[in-house]
Amino acid sequence: MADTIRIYLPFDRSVSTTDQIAWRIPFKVGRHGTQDDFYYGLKEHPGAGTTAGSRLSPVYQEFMTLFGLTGAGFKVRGRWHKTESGCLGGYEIQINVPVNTVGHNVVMDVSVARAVELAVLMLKLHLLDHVTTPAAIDALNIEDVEIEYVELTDCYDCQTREEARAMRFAFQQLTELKNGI
Amino acid sequence: MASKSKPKTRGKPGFTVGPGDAGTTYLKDRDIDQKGYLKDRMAPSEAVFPDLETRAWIYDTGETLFRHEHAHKGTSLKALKLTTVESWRRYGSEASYAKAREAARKKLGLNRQSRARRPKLEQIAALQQVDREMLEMLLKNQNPRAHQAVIDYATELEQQKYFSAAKVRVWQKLRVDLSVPWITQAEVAASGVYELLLSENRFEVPPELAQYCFTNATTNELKRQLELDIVRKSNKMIKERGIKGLPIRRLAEIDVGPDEFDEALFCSWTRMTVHPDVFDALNRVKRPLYVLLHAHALGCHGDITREQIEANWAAKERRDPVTSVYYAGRNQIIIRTVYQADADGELLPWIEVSAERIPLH
Repeated sequence: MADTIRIYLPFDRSVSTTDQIAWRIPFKVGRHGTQDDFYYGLKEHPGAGTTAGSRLSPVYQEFMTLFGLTGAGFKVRGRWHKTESGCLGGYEIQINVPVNTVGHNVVMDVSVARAVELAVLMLKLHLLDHVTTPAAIDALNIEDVEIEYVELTDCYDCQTREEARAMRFAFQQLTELKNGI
Repeated sequence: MASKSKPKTRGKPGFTVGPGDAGTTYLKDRDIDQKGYLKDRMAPSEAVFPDLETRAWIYDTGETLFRHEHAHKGTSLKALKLTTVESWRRYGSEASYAKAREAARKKLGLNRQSRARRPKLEQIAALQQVDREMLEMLLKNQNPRAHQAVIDYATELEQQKYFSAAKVRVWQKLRVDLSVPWITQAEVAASGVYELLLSENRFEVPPELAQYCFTNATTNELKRQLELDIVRKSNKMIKERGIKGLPIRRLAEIDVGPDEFDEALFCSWTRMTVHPDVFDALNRVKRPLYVLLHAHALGCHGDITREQIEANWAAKERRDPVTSVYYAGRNQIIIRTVYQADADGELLPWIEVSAERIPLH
């Protein structure tokens, strides 16, 4: 399975700062040096404080639950557009999909594509609570996603706990081979 | 003159955290971090199980699984060309997962399995003298880097080069690594961990547990539910706010998820072969393949003539091959359903997808 994934979901190129202001696209502006900084750090954007970055906008980098079946959360934060000042380029999502959907990752099947699909859908559902029009989520297309980090977990059936523990120890020795003398 | 430069110090890439059997072993790397561990049944979980027996069942199963986790960072994903969702969609093949797994195995050194038993005397005798002496030091639990031939070199760099050359020679002849304690490499080779991690027998969730776990069955339903919720919320917003210019949304009347196809009739998500050129062609126009597969399965056969459409309808009835053609930029994507008999003689559909360049006139 893909346990934790980190993806970047960009807005469609046609989306402008004006659109984002009108749609009230949520993100969070933090002070430089704090944990809540944006990916590019705080700049003196005209947007910060007066437009979509207004203190009145919803705070972002918050946790979301899904259907109430799990109490787990996942992180989302905005990234500034690379060239257009004051414009949000898209959202970065860090999420453990199995935990956020079925509540555990003890045993599971492998599907990165499905994990990304669910992550994007969960974000879109959350955004609808903040934006002024569904056109805002239409501007986020899953096929534009850039996958930046994927944890794949391969589970090997050792039949018994004792055998599984022996394999874990053997794996430990295997990695120690990399340390050399 | 011996070098006076300080040796570079760095943390060991392989280390274990946690006590005894409960520990997690890490292997850090700039492209792929790896972990090996067992699931702790006492770890907190957000899952809601119908009863304690089901929970115990799942965790009992989990305890017998050795978990090898490989975390691919951006550099690895870019090198493997696995940065898009489409690149991870299966389309009847495990190629993307195999690529990722192979990259992790290589980092782990699974392609360099050392020997489990001491080399025979005649094998050792066949080595060059210095190589032989360094190997004998290793077998006696001494550090071969302390051999006189190595320390005779003036600088650390020259010493390292000499040692590396000897290491390569000994490895090529006897599969013994001079830079790793003999006991460790022999124990690892004998442990069965190579065979385990190189095997393709990975655990699959049994059908009776599927509904409680992250599987295709549960996630199909979750995805559908999320899409419905988005449609409902969107429509509510459009109506309540009187938003102009946006249509009321509807989910397709016909369910077109992979599990909704009648596989006996026409389409299969697993019995499929896709030529690599197809993805190149579709990536250029940023169109995922599954959209075309849906259209083919639903009977929208693309850019063909009326006669071809009617021929396709008739062919479907007879279980003869059916062909759809779609345009993607300068290419045609051809999707063809053919029928092949399985071991019991039953005709099952098989999808073949190919791409052809449209010639310039």
